[in-house]
Amino acid sequence: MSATKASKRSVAKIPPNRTILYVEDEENDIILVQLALEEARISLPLKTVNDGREAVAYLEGTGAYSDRVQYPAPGLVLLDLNLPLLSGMDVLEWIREQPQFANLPVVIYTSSNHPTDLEKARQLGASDFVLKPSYVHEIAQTLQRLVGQWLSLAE
Amino acid sequence: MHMKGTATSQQPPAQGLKARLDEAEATLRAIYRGEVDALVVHGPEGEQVYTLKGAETPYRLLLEAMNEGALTTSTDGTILYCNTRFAAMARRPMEQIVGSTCRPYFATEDYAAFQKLLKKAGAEGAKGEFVFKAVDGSSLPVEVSARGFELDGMEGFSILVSDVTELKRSSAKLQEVVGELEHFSYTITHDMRAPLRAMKGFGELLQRHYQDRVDGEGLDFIRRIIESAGRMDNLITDALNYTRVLRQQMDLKPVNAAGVLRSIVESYPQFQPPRAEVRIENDFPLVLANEAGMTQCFSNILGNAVKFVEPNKLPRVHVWAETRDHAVRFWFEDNGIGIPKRYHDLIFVMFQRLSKGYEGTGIGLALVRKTVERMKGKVGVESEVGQGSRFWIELQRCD
Repeated sequence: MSATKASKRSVAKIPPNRTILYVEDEENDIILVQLALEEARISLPLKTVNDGREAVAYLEGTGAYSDRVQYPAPGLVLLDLNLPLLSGMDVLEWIREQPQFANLPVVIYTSSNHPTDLEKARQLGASDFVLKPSYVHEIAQTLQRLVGQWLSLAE
Repeated sequence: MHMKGTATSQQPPAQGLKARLDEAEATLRAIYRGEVDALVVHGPEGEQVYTLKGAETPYRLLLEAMNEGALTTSTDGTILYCNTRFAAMARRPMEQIVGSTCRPYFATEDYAAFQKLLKKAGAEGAKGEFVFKAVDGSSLPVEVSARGFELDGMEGFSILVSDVTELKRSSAKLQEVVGELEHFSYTITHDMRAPLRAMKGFGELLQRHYQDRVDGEGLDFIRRIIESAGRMDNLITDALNYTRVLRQQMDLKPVNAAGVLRSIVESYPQFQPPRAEVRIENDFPLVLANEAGMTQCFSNILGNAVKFVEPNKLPRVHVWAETRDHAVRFWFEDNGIGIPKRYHDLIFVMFQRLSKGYEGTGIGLALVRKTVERMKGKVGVESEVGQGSRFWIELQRCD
């Protein structure tokens, strides 16, 4: 699995498109994901933004996110659905409208298992749809799978 | 038979309307069949009795007293009679209506549908919903019920036109409220999960990384916090599933139950050795079901079968099918603790939990019953304390 390989790299050598962008407004979930990355020994940089508009700004590299050294373009986006200002679905729709992000893996990471949400995310071009696990060891397994599946192509 | 204007006033408007319409129809039906000898009409001078011995007056009176538009037409659609209410709905004097046709009161497509309705009406009658156009351009949603008749060699139709504006308005309002409530309950259950996730997640971390710094009692407290958060999470999941079953459309298709059962057993280690033995017979006829619904029901029943077993006893479940007329009954026999007879109905009711020593939300079987009912099936149980249970689910057989 590429996650194990990735863990042996140092952060400095990781190309910019190995960054994971996590769009999440729930602070607890962010901490749990950070801890799970440590537990899974995935040393890819994790960048977080707290609402939909910030997500768009980050991806565009505008405003506070214009410095691509500090805020590298991501190789994987973890996207919560229930977000302030611009919903996860809106962000997903915007991403798929941008030609440069046509192949950017966007994984919906949500607590909603509602079939309508699943269907809509699929229609809008989500790469995967993952239910947020509760326990850190489960989150670690999930992240390992996602990184292996969606970031290995970029190697 | 009573035709009292006050009889329905305490009911909600939509129901009241519907009841009045039903009553008027029943009255007309009874008159056609000659079942009515006399009518009691509640008028300004109190209740008056009219006999129906060949007199036309009481019929007229009845029709005039009704809050529904009434018409008789010849087979070619010429209006022979209309009551005051119909004239009021049409906003046209009665004498201009009699002798003309129904054409002015319908839009083109609706008129075609109305003629179709008359064609199939016959003596049995037929009903349809239309937009009724008054001659001043205003319009009303109406329900039309028509019935063919034959009198002294002359054929025609008797037609009731009922204004359903109020009915439509109330049901639209009701729909809106239901929608809001669903959205509300969905949002609230969804938002309740975020803090629970944090409790479980951080609790697990405490348990694993701080166990050498917390004493036994402290660890027990942590375990209780995690378990309670887990229980709440299960409750929310089940409640969400339940409300989803209530409102989701459930398409029925031929389903191979054996395939569904096998994939459930293969997906969950709790149904496999060494934790349990689930034996599935081979001969399962195709049934009409919704595959997701069937999966939900079967896994809940199997889950209970392996859960409610005495500690240290290997759960054994035997599943077979029995054909009964147009249905197939699936039996799930377990070696569990059994259920006292007096509780056999209660266990399918929401939040009724009978066994204290076992984890559960009290929603599982209520969910099974609701889902099975939506698949036009039935569910039940045969059981005695200490002798295991035989749950059954009956679904329609595919012929």
